[in-house]
Amino acid sequence: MNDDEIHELAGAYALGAVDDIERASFERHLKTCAACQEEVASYDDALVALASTARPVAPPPALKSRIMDALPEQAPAPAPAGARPAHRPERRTFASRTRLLVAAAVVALLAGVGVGIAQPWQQPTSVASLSPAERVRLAPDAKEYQGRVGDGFVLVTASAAERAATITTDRLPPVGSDRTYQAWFLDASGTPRSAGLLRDDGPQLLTGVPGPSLALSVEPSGGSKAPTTKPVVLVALT
Amino acid sequence: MMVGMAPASSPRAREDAASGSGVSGLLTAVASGDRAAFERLYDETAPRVHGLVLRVLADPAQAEEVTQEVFLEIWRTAPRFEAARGSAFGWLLTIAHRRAVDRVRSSAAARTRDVTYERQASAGPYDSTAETVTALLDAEQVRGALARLTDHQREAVEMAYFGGRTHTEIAETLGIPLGTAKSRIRDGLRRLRDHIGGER
Ligand SMILES: [Zn+2]
Repeated sequence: MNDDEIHELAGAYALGAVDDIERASFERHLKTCAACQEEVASYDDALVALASTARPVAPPPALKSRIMDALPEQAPAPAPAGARPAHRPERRTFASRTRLLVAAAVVALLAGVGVGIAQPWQQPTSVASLSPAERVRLAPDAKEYQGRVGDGFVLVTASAAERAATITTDRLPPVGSDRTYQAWFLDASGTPRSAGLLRDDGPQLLTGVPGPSLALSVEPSGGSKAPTTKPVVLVALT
Repeated sequence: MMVGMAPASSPRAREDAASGSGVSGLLTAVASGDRAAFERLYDETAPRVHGLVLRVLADPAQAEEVTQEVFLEIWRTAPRFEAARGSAFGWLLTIAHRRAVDRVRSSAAARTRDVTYERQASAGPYDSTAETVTALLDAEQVRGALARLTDHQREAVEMAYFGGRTHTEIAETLGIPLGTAKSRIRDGLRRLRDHIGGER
């Protein structure tokens, strides 16, 4: 997204009508763009007005007791010096961001967003002629999962029986000659384990047994032991 | 459905919210760990917060969970609220909206959101505001401002705000170019802003 286009996101951002990746890039832009800061702030009253068209509904009394019980004993932590913008809710932690990315990927899948990665494989003549990647993709229990990266897509095909997964990509944003996309399987606690560097659009067999989700991050060419940048996409493999 | 049993907020809450000082003062007390102030803040704002969350989620059980998350986040982040930077009530609603949209985009809610949107959309553009008692802005004024939007703009703004849709999803759902979806959202929001501000 170039700089002219990103200003146009101010309205959608204020309404929450951006995906996680757009939100991250807009918030980066917002730090340095006075015009957008002003525009976003100018919508505050309009948003309250919009919210006020939702009819007030008293929650059940039990909810209040649950909340009071769940309140931590200690006082809230004081705001750090030079704190984040006060009129926006707290920034997401990596963990919650990860959950959102999972959610976004699932929504995209359910909503049929970004569908269009063709599956033009043909039944090969013999199993022996199959590459490992093809074996996964043709496994009777193979399941497909999609994610989006900017205007591009990733498609992961995983087979529990083969204990393996493949990745196919389409129109991933270019990363430059000294960088590469690296795939990671995340375990249930979110700990990443390298699943290999992407060589091309694939399909490519990923390294290792698939975890509950897969992330892609941009790394120096040659790859990293652990992600050094925020994942650009996270695909739930469940 | 519990929507039918909705009580309006108390006159007291309305007054406080209208001036902004009530909620803002309570938030300041909450920031220093005042549990009694938190309880009052809850009493005064929970119906509005919950109403918004429920409108987005259209699922009472999930809405309760999200309303709980919202208030726990308010407790944690109250010290970061700065009155100079916006209304306290707006701040609460922003947290509530963000959390509700996060939830609606998660897989469980995703299955029902098309249905939800259909249901909301079929109620017609004005039904959504007709019964509302607003705390902060006069209902007439909000209705008047919303009426300044074209049908297309209002549809896009409501799909975004209450449907939890992104501009990309809105373009796809309505079968319109992305640029058109973006400008409907932005122009609609601008008009709403200008007419809310202008008629105050
Ligand atoms: Zn800008």
